[in-house]
Amino acid sequence: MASADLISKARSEGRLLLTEVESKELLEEAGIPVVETKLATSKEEAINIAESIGFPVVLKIISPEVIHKSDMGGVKIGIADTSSVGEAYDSIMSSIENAMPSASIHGISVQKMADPGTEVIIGASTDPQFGHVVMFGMGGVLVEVLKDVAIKLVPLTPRDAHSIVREIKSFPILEGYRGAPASDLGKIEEAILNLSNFLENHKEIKELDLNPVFCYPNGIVAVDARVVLGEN
Amino acid sequence: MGFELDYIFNPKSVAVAGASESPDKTGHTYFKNLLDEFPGKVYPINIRAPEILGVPTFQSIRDLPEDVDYVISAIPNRDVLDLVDACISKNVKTLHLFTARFSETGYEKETKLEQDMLDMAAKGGIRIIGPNCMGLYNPRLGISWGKGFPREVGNIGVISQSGSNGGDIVSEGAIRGLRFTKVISYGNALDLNEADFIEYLADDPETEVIGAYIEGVRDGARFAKALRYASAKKPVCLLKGGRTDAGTSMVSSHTASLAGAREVWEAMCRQTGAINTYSMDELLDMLVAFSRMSKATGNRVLVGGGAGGKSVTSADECEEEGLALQPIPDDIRNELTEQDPFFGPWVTNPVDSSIMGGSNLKPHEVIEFIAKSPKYDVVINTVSAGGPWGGHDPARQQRASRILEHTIGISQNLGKPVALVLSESIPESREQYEVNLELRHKCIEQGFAIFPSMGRASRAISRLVRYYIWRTAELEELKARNSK
Repeated sequence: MASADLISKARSEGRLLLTEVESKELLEEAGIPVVETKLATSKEEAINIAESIGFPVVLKIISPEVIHKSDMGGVKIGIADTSSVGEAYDSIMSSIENAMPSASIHGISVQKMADPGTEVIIGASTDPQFGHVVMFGMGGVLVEVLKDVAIKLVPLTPRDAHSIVREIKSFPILEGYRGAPASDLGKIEEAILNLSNFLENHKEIKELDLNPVFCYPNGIVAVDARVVLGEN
Repeated sequence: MGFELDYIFNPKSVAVAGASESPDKTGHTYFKNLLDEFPGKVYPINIRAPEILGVPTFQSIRDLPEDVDYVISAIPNRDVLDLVDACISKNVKTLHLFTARFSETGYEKETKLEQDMLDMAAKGGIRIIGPNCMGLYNPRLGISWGKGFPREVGNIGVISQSGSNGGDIVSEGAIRGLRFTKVISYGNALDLNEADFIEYLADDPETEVIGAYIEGVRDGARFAKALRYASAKKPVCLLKGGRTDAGTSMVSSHTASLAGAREVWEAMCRQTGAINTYSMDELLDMLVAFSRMSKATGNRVLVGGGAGGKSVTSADECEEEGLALQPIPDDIRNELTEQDPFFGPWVTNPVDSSIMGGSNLKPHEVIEFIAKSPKYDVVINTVSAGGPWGGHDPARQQRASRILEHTIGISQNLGKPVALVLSESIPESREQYEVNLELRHKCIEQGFAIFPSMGRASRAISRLVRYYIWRTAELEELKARNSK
């Protein structure tokens, strides 16, 4: 589905929050690498998707009302075979039905479990004075506890993308600190520039998080994504 | 980009609506300043007084014998629509409104009046400065809102949303040797706003440094663009007044919770090359540094003056601000050792003048000698004609003159950027006060950038260096983009 259709579909359903599957589709179109993620609306479909993309896989609940998916038992990772996919599917469904019986469930997303990498966050929000800003920081708890992030206004130039990555204090980690693998800085900058271009053409997007993004020596991939639309 | 506004700053004739007979009224000051200094036609408009300062008044702009370029309004807000109508009849190009009580009141009626005024002026082709502001100070032309602002033209352009802060920049800056090209107090920014003025000053050839006091921005994206455009040409130093919490509630992403108003403002400055300051002192320090120091291309600093503990704390302050206290280079050290085998090997950076008593090395000469090394990008020297307490000491005075002489040598013979630290503490005795004042005037006349403390000097220099590094990279990127 093209980005305009995805956005108008969400609006027509009265939603400002795009689901993970929708968000990833949108961002992939923007030129940001995302983990291949497909929506299953039945156990059989989940199994078929898992077999076609290959194990191990991750299953996640897709529901506009469920924000903190893992807290509610809505995420199962490291699923290694067909029978485990079925078990995980049932387990997620019953957890959500118990925790939030009123939640409207779109289905369960099936995605390839990404190899572990250095976690970063790439995000965007709308400042009331300056409009869209892009944020970059270390992922995981570091972004929350240390607030080690850098911000740039949209549009970013290539030099801005180069700087935003290097302005965070944790930058040496991305360079490969003490023998740890380095992160693909070129690909991070490219993703940030693509995001900036995308936001310039999509004023209707209010906020978005790519969190976490896994970084490898060659390439990066966004594992989770969330897009929030503005009121109008 | 913004230079088409030049006519606004260079009117041939000015009328003051609400010119007053009473010397303590602002409507009087505007008119008197123009009468004293402005070379073109000046018309007082007053419905009661037949003449002001010996000049016959007119009842209305409509009664003027010819068209007029620029009108200053000091009349009550209820009469502004009629004034705008009269201005249209005389082909007025610019209307500056000292007149206040519009949208800043937050009241519906006054806000509507402001909007009606704008619509009317726009239809009549009139640009508005303000309302609710002091307007223009243009020393070249002799337009000024202040009493006794300097007449000499300088190299600093200033915009200020507030008239009182704009006035402080002029008068507090003036005593540190700052002089101005155009200072614009622009209040509510109803028509011409901060982005227009920044673009204009960026293109204004006589403006080399821009200063700005800003509370809110009318169009953030355009303002950021204007800043980046200006910063590629000349330094822009900002002081942001007030903070907004708007937009920090009701967010549902990490990004939005971490990108609050303050963080975004700071990021915007970093990205656009603007120098963000946090106090009037810091803003003035940056204007002093940029307008009175030559371009510094690196952060390797040579520090002079101070003895014992003072050189230790000076070293700390410089390093904490990110300056590099480059050790005395070998070739210089060898030459010093030849001059004095005991003290030569001992001299350090900062140069501690107290150790050289009785040696062949003279502290005031040593600093110039060391400064010649290409390993130093910038020099901070300290000068003092005596401490604040106690009677004055002619020997200290003579030493101060010698230090000054050699510091002039560093900036003139070596062409290096120099900052002088000169205490601002007020001496206990009148005699010492006068000695200090004389030294201060001498430093300013010689063109030095003076700072009241090592901490403030080193902070300003560090930010100056960072700006020039930013600009070099920015210009490279612009060049690369244009060649594509």
